[in-house]
Amino acid sequence: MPNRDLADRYRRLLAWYPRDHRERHGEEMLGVLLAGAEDRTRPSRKETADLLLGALRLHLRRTVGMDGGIDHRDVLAIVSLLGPVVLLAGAAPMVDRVLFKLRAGIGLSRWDLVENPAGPAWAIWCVVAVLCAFRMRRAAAVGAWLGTAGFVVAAVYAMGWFWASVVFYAAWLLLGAVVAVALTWSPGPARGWELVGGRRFAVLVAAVAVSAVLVVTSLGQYGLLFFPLELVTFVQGNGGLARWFLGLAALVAGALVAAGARTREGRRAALVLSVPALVSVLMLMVPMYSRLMLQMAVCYGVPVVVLLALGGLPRRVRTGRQA
Amino acid sequence: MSATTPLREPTFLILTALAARPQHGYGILRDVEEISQGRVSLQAGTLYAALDRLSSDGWVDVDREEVVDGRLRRYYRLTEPGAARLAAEVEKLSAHTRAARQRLRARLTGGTA
Repeated sequence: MPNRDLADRYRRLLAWYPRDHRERHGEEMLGVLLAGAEDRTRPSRKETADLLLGALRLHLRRTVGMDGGIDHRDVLAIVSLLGPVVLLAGAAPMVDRVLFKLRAGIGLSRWDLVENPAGPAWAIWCVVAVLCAFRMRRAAAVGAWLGTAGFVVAAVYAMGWFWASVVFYAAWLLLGAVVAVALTWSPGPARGWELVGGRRFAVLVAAVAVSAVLVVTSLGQYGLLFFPLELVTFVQGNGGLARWFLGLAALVAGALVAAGARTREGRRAALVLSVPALVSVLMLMVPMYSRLMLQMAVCYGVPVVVLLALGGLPRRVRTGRQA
Repeated sequence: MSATTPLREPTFLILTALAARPQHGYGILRDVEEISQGRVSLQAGTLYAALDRLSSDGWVDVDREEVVDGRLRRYYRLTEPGAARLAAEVEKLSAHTRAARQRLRARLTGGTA
């Protein structure tokens, strides 16, 4: 039956459209296409190109959040619940060093604080993660601001003996600031828990643990981040790189599964939660002897631009601009 | 909503097609062709991408739905902000047209710029 064949061909083309658009307008569009088909048995080239271009346009609009279909309150609610857990991945190298000393019978001293100036901040974030798991938003918000301030203090303090410390803390500072904002101004972890559920929360905890183990047992002393590739391989060789990348992949995959890959809010939240992995990869691409300002611009600027462009962070969408 | 950015022709024609009464998708396509005297022939992909954008801008909304021959037919209508934007565009184009006509008339009567 030619008409049915034509309808099937149109359906195959309409399958390229975003799911929500397909569900809402798929049959309606099919009706319009068939009404205009006259005696055609297959879509014309012009029609095919137009439908594919239309699908691409709608995907792009959704990718950059121009359609206004993203509820940023929900994005931030998910981030407020899961962000502190992801942040704990950054504490793994320090915890590893402390455990190593304790196992070796070397006591901790004030020099450990000099060596790990962000130690108190990580401790605060650990408390924040627990508070978020119990949906205690206000206390967690206070802790999140303190934890973020702790990263700033650690970065500035450490600059005296380690010039790139400002860059080293970029990922955690950025994610910490977003989590603090989310805990302060979004519906908070209670709403996040409604959207995510306990099972997916547990998935993220497991993913962070796996990621931490992979990172610590590969390029552990440098943590999840933070040096140009040439320097990392010069110091460590290529051996640990594969496992280190697996660590990043585990973190990103865990964030995606936990935040919810099937919803637009979940994907945006996963994008925010993947900021540490993004900064890691960016840092690897920075030339070895590049200026500190360039490194800072890349590590702080690019993630913020990416989050704004892809709808991970709320932004004012200008409507009324016609294409 | 920006009243200063010019509307593109397909957008202008879609809004014009909806100005007098609600229409379904196929009706809009035919009407656009008629309004433009056959010069603009929109395809379904372009129309629905535009409707998606115009809906999120709040210029166009769904008026009602019907099932005809077992197929869903959705009617779209122009909203008040949409009508206001179209009116503003018409006003602007009219002003430009008046100015252009005056200049051309002046040229024909031998005036200088």
